Amino acid sequence: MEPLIQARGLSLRYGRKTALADLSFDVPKGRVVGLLGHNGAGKTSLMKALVGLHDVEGELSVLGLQPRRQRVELLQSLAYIPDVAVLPRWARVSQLIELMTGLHPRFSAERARSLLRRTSVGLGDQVKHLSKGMVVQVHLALVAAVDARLMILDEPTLGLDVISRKAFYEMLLDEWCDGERSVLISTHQVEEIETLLSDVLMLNEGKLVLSLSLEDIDRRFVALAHDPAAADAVAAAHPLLRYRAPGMAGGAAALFDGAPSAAVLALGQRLRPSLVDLFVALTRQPEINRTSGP
Amino acid sequence: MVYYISNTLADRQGPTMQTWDPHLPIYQQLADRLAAQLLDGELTEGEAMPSVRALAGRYLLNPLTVNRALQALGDDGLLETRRGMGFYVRPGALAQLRDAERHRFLGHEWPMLRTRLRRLGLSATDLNWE
Amino acid sequence: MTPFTTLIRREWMQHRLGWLLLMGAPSLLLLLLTLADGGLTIQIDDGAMRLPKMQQAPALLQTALLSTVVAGLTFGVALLAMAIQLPGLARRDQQDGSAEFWTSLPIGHAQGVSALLLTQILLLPWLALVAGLAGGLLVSGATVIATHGLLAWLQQPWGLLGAAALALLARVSLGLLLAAAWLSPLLLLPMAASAWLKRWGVPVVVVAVLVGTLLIDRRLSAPVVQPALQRLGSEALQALLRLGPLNPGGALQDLDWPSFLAGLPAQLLDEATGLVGRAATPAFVLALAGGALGFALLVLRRRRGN
Repeated sequence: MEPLIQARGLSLRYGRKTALADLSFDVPKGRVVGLLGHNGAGKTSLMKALVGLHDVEGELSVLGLQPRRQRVELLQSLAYIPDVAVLPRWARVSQLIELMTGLHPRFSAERARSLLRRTSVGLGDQVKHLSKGMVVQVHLALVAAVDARLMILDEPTLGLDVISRKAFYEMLLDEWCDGERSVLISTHQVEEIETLLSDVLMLNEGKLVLSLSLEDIDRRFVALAHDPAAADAVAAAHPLLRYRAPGMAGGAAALFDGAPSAAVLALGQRLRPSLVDLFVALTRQPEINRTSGP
Repeated sequence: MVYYISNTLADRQGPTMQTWDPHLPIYQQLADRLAAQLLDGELTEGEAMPSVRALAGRYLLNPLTVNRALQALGDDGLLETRRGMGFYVRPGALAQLRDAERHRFLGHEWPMLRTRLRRLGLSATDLNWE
Repeated sequence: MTPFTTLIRREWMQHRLGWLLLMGAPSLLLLLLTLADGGLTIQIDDGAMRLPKMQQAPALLQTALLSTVVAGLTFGVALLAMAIQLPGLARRDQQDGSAEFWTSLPIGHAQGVSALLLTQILLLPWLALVAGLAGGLLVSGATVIATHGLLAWLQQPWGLLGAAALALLARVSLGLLLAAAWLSPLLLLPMAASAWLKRWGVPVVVVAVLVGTLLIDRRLSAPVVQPALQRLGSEALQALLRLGPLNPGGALQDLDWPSFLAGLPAQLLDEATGLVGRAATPAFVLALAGGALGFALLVLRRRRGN
């Protein structure tokens, strides 16, 4: 089965600035892929490239199509939310459903209405009278009503409160993830999205620093909670990151790429490698890298 | 597989961006919670488990993780798949689980508790059984 | 609904309130004016065509004249509103923050621009014209019934009026099409300038025109910019307004209205063929080329993103 997204040597340049440098990755079906990175790391550039809004170098195929050249055809098979606050403010929800019906061949008005029933939004409500959280839910209901195999969400929960974020993820998991479809969701709020993901693409300054499934991450990286007394011994094993872990045995912890020696492992308790810590370790700004030492 | 049936309040509450224990794999922790629900009678023998999608939505977990948890419970004989229609609670699962948990308590936790009681000079009559 | 018609529907959904107001206001205004102290004087440029007070004018005169005036006014206001709004429409979605929503939908860039232009430049003004005719019927009906009674209103030669109205509608529709074509560079290039240069777009165009007429033309042996602009304008005005037979000269109340109306369709048809003939010239092709350039620039702007 061909992956839904295939990228080889993908690069994106604006004049002299390089937004994406030589990315290679696959997104298979049935996955929830987190595109993680700090602001400016290239997440939005990548997503725009995936939907054909940018010229790119290298190979990129989405749902078997060339995004730039077959943009309209591709968008007919995609569910895409480019940003949270972009629904036309003058429109009523029922009007948006009418417009989507006419513009999106794979959109189902009935499905959209049934998804909207989960929310507290009425069909006659105007977008400009809805709260941020409700606007996002409406947008998600509209795109989830598109019969697509791939959903691309660019920081969909930005600026939302916890309850709205939770409702968003709930709707996404309940109504979209069926094992055949995939979601690519970008965020810099790594912590709360960790448990939803099956795979991770981590971007740092336009480069892909990690492209792994969560299962493989659990196998490859090792987190160790230890006593502060053992700090030097742990540091000598060259961890990727050392950090405080309040509440863990000892209160200090370290993250290793690959298992350290048995001697070091014996110094503490093995933990599940947290995506947040991995993210910090792999995307630290150069200045921090220099001062924090090996 | 051993289930850690916790009684802490956090586990009893519904999901509010739950925090999962970093010591254990998440699928294991989900299996623990589902086993606890079985012991408490919230899941009935012979009845279908909530769908993978529903559980994923409720606990905000990736469906693959939910699947792994259900598989683990199935491997231990607490759940069964029927006619390709998803997971059902196996008849006798409650008894089996209670048995296993009793075993664990009596074999592991009780000896430790007993030692502690002796150290403190407490006997059964000193304890409040309500 | 096809995607293209859905885009047109979007234009109506977003702007219908403003357009309905625009289409109804002139009729309403004139209704109040004509019914108020009963006097309406209109002076038309070639020779004094003083109208008598409405009460004294025959029913047919009132109907024909008022309908035309209301229709013309509504149509003119609509065209003016369109021309003024057009540069702003180029950045409409950017300004309300919904641009990314529209580009996230499977719509071709050219499709999107075409639907916008077709609706705003042709469809909506045309709708205003029809609304104006309907409004004119209403206004003239009110005055005729007020001054001559219901029977007189009913007894008018409706067949003649109907045919004349249809002929006028057809003639002005063609005029709208041709005028839009002649004016396309003047409508689309400022729009493109606004799309690319944002709020500097229109000022830059104004400066460019001034530079063209005041500086460049002086340097050339024969001026180019000003005559070009004048030509475009006059062709468009002719397309819209040169309704020759409608200026019969002399006192309107002395006109033999029934025969005048009967002959109107044929005269308008004659005029129409003349207009089409004027379009078969290099100047027209150049105008269209200018419009096409504006269109291409608008599509390119969408393609490049914001």
